[in-house]
Amino acid sequence: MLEIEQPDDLISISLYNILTYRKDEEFINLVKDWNKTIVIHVIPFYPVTVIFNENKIKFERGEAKKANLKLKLEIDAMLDMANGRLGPVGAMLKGKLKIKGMFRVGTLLKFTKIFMKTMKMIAADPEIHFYEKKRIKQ
Amino acid sequence: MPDFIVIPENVDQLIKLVKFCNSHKIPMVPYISGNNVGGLTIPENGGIILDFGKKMNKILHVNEEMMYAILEPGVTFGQLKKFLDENYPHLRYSYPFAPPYAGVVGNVILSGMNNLSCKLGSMGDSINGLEIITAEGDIVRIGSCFYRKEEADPDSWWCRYPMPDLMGLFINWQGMTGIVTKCSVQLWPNPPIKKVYLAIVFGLIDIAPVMREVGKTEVVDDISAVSIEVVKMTVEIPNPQKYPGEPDFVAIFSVSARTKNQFKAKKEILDNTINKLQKKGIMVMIVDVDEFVKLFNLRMRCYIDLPATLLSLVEYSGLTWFGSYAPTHKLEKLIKTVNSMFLKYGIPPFIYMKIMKYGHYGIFRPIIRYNKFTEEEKVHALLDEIADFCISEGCIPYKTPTWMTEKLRKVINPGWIKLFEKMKKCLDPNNIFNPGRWNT
Repeated sequence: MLEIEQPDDLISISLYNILTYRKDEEFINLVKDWNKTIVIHVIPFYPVTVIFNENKIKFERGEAKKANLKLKLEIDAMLDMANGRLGPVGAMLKGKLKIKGMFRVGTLLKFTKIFMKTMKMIAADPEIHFYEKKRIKQ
Repeated sequence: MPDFIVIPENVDQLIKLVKFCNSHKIPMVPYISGNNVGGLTIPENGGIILDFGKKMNKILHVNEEMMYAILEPGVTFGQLKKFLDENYPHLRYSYPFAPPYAGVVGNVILSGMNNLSCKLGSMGDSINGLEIITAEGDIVRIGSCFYRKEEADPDSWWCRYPMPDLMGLFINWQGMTGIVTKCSVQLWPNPPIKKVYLAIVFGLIDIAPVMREVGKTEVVDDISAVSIEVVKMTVEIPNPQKYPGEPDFVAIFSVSARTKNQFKAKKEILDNTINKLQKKGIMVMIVDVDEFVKLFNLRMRCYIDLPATLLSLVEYSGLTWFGSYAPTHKLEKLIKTVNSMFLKYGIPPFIYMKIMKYGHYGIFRPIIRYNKFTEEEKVHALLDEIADFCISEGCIPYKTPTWMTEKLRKVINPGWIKLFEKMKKCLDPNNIFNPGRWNT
C-alpha cells in the first residue's frame, strides 16, 4: 500500500487529492519504488516538491534545488488539460507549461502516466461526491 | 429554559393561547428548528416555546403567475426546495448559508441573506404579505392580502405596497411584537443555465474591490467570499494557517441565464471586469468552480448547493459569529483589522462576506469555531473585540443576541430607542412576546 502524507497547504492538498484518487494496481506499481523528486509549480501559486520514496509520497512547500523534473503549469491550462481541451504539447506551445528535465524521457513519461492521466480520470469521473471525506474506488 | 413547549396545529389554537398568555403575562417564544447561532429561541424569561416546526409546517399555496408561495412558520428550506423542484421546477426560491432544516419564515422576517442576495438583497425585501396574531388575539393581515373580513383569498398575497407599510412592525423584531402565522414569499423564474465561478484573490484586502466591482456589473446572482483558511477547513485541516504564496480569499460568483447567448454576454462582462481589476494590479483569477473543485476535491460544493449543512461549521462543539450588514466601502478596513484580531488570539481567520443588491450594502461575518469549555473565554474576548470594532465602523449586527443589543443600545440615537420602546409597549403591553430580546 502507498503511504501519502496529508499536507496542509493549498497546492499540496490539491496534489494530495489527485495522487490519492487511484487505488488500482497499475497506479500503485507506477508510484512504488519510483524514488524521484518532482517540483510542480501551479501558477499563480507557489512551487511544491513532491517526493516519491519507496512506497511513500510526501509534499514540501517550495522548490527543491535538486529535482528529477520541474514543471511550471498555469492553473487554467491545468484545468484545460484535465478536461481534454488542451494537450501537453499545446500547453507547452502556448507557454502555459514549462518543463525542466525534459530530456529525462522515462521520468517524464512516468510522471505523465501518474499525474496527467489521473487528472483526466478525476475530471471525467461522474461519481465523485464532493461531500464525502474520502472516495473509495474499487 | 422554557416552562412548557406547545406544538400548535392551527391559528385558532394560537389565538386562544395568545389571549391566555396575555391575560396571565406568560412569555411566548417562537421556535422552528433552534438553528440560530445567536440563541434567539432560548427564552430569556421562561414561559412557553411555540414549536412551529412539528405541525404548522405547510406550504399553503403557490401562485405560479405572480410567483409567490404562502408558508406556515414551520416550513424549512429543504422542504421548500424539494417542493418547488418537484412541483414547480420553473420557479426558484433563494437559500441561505444554512442547513436544510432551518426555517424559512424565521430567516425571512429576520432579514437573513440568501444565494440570490447580490440581485435581491435581504430576504426581508422579498416578503409579499404576513398574517400575524397580536397580543389582543386579533388576526392582522398585511400586504395585498389585507382585503376581506374573513380568510384572505390565497391568490391575493401578491404585493406589499402601496398602503402604509405595517410590515416593519414585525420584521426584525425577533418575535417581540406578534406571532407570525403565515408569510407570502416571492419566488423567481428558474433559469435553465446556471454556472458558478471561483475567484481566487491574492492580497488580503483586494477581495473588497473585486466583490464591489463584480457586484456592480449586475450580471451575478450571488457573490460570497471566504478566507482561504475556510477552504482548508472544508478538507478537514483542523487549525489551518495561510502560507506564503497562497491566496487570501476565494469568492463565489453565481451566474444564471435563460439562453446561451445571454450567458455568454454575462460571462463577457464578468471577464472584462476581472481584466480591468488585473490591470489595476489586483491579482485575481477566475476558474470554473465545478472543474476546480472536482479536480482538487475541495468539497466546496456545500457552499454552492444551498441549503446545506457545512461540516466545517458543525464539527466543533462551539460556533459563534458576528454577523452584520456592512458598508461596502469599509470592507478593506474591516477585513484588515478583524483578520489581525483573529491572528492575535491564535484563531484561524474565518471571514465570510457578501455583496447585497449589487453593492448597496454588504455582509461582513467573522465566524469562530471552537471547543466548548476549553476555549470559551478566549473566543468570547475575540468576539467582543470584533463586535466593538465593527459596530464602531457602522456595521449593523443581525439576529442579535442580547449581549450584542446591549452594546447597540449604547450607541443608537436616543430618539430611535424611545420610538422602539414605545412601539414595543404599544404592540405588546404585557411583554409576552419573546421578552428580553433587545433587552426589553
